[in-house]
Amino acid sequence: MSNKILSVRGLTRIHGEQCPLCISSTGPEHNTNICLNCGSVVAAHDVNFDLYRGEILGIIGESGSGKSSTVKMLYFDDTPTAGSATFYDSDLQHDMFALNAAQQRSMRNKRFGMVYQNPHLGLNFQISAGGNIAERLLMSDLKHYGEIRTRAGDLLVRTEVARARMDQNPKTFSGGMQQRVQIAKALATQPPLLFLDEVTTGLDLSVQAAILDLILEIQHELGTAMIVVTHDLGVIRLLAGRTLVMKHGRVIESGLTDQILEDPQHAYTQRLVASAL
Amino acid sequence: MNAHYELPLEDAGYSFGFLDEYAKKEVRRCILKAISIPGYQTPYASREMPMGRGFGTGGLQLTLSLIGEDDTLKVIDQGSDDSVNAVNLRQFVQLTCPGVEVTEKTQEATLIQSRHRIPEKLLTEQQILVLQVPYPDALVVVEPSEARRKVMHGEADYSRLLVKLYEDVVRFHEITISHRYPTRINGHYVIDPSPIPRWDVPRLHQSPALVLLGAGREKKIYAVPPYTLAEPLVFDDIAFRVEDFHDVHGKRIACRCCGSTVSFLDELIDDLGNVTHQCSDSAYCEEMQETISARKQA
Amino acid sequence: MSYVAIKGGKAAIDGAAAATDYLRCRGSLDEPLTLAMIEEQLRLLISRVISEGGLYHPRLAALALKQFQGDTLEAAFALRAYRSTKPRLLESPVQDTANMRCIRRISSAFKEVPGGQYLGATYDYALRLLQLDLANEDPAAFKDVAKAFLRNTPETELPNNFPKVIDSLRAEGLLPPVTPSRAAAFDITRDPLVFPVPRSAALATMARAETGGLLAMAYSNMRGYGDVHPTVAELRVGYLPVMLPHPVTGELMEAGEVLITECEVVAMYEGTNGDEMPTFTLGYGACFGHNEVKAISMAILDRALQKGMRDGPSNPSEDPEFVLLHVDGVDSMGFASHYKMPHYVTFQSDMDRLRHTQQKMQQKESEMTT
Repeated sequence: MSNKILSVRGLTRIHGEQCPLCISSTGPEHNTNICLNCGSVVAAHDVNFDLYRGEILGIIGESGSGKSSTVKMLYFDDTPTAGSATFYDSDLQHDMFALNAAQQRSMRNKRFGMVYQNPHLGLNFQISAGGNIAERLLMSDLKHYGEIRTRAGDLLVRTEVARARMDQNPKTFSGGMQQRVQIAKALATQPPLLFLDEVTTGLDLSVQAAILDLILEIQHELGTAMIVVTHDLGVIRLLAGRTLVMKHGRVIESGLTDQILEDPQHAYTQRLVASAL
Repeated sequence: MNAHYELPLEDAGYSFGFLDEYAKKEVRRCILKAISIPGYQTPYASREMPMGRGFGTGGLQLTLSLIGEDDTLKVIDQGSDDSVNAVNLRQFVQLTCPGVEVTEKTQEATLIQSRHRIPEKLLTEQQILVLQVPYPDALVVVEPSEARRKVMHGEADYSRLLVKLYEDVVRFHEITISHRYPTRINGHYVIDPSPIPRWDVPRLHQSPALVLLGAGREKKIYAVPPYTLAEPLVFDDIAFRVEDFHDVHGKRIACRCCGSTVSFLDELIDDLGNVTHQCSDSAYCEEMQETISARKQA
Repeated sequence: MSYVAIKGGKAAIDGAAAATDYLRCRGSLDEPLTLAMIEEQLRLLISRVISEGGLYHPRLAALALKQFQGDTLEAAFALRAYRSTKPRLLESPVQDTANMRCIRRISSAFKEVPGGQYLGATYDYALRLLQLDLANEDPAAFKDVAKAFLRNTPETELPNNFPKVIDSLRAEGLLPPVTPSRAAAFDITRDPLVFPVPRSAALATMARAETGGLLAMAYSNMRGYGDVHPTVAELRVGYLPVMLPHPVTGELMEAGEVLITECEVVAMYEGTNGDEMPTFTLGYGACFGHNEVKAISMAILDRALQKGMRDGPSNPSEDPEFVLLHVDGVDSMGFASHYKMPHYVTFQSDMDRLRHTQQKMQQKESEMTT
């Protein structure tokens, strides 16, 4: 059985009507995502990478780099313009974008987890924190109330949200705590693959540090593979074993995080590393 | 305005069953589709009837499309043949379907149209039960958009409904849904079984009779075919409980007329403020009373 | 003490019918209302009922209003129920409203339009001051009003019909050209609405919608829960000839005419994809009878729904499900009324739940305090 969990080839997303000049007139050399001919936005083009079981891959870039677009497509929040992705699940292989909507929803619910920067995208604010986690457990066919309570409570304890707050609405929680609930919810079905999109951006530094520690601990305990999207080098340095650097929709550099940080090749990466506080 | 126009006063008659034959055909086709896909809400072009939407036009269209001269019809509302709405509907069918027999005795009926109750007496394979439905969709409580609900039903994705039950148990330590209890049919579609009490839900399960559900205003027909699984949504460790008719001392309350301790009871308050109970199913109650007086005479 | 089950449902219904008849007939006058009086002197009320009933039969609308003592919801309902039983003889081909014999025709978009602006019979600029002398109207004077109007109106050559204002906007390219469609119109009386629905289904539903409900939705859009910002390109009231194919020759012949109100509103242009020229957008409303508020509301909602169907609704008036499922008077009035029916079994079930829950909470409380 291969150790690979995800394989992405030629992933592309263009917004707008598209024309033959879109690709050639955009990218880091042209300093833009916008096609000067038709006005389409090339959010991401030709993204390729492999992800292995238990590893954390970082994707770093500024706004407009295409890092979030990439992850959105892989979580089925958006449809690619071109490219493919294969998910390896035990002995099975799934051509992700060839699945129908129901199959994609099933994969999303049972094999993936996602934590958004904005908790309003990841949490339902009309139900309790425990209810949010219960919803995921119920989607994966767990129907025992007592067990759902126990598991949800355990997950909230693990993510350092007090069990006592389980029945409260996340509306009343701080930003950091809402992220913790999201993480608990994402882990509810013990997915082999977790997507984290700018999860600590906007939080206080001490809170950020605590959440990053939590993510590392979870990875050690559960062996979850992760894709971490961020614009913060510090997050990459702490979490990611390998990293992709993206600019204007293209992957401009990729490799071991240590190497990229020690010896960046692309001019942009060099500037990025040099400017890190 | 045509000053010479005169109303065609001799044109006041209606065809058998009030609806024209095309309308009846459409309803019957819809019934067949509903039976083939147990629990699926089949849309149909519900016709306007002379009684208001909400007064049983959906059930009525089913009855009028199925009824023939050799049928015997029973109509009940809240379990009673004498309830105003039942009387009104029954009279309408008698008016528009000459030759059709009507009855109050459950066992004599071939077709039973009912609002909010299933008869206490077990029905047979020769009978069809038509239930009047205000809300066909169990998911309406968590999702107002019909288009989105359709996708959820198609994928049997009832997690949001189950979360609502979870939150109920968290807050009130039990599921608080009283009537309209969401019930899964044949292992896939979850239906709203109409505002029957929980007491009646088990009667849908493996029923010898065909159960048809008609929503006139919402324009849907669905079915629980005979001998089909009908399982109320519960958690593995929280059982489905029916209404409780025990008094404060734990004694099962009896009907004041026939003494039955196994039927669904109506609670009545008299002019002095005294609370008494009597069977909701009036035909059942009368039969019990007849049996008792027959025994007394014997 | 033995209890006997109380019966009397039938007697109650018969009693209710007798009571309503009594109220209808017990007035101080000996003469019942005549259908002609209702049809001739309350024409706008008739218009409302035929429009909401979806049946062009002013005489029957008068009967329904008389029978139901002026309740327009009940009268429209009665017309719909009557229509339910009538066989469908044929479907007319598409009728061109440019052939309308107008009795009123205005445009807010231009000061002058081809054919001219005709205010016609409207209360728009009338002062809403009660004319108390209507309390004792002299029959002779009453009869003379119409005669005098015809006497005093000069003979003029009126055009037979008027070109559509929007056609001149189309000619200039300010409105997109008409794309003739081969698709049959959606028949809401024969097919259920399954969303998303085509525009013809939305228009048909709104054409027989309850006027107040439709107005409320449109008003919400006008006030800001939406951004149609309409200009009335043309409002027409008039008689549309109904052209039907001759049963033998198939040739289109005028079978009669129907009074309709039609409104076309032009809304601000929207962004387009790429090189397409932006144009104004069109909203269309039409209904039986003379009902301008309904036609205008319908046109605004038509525009709002088209926008909602294209871009996703950002307000209730742009959401097809929200609008189309809640504007039908027969559905809404029926459901509101149904709450008056017995619900004691369901209430019994509700009481059972609450009693149980209260019991459990009390148990929990006493457990906590011990």
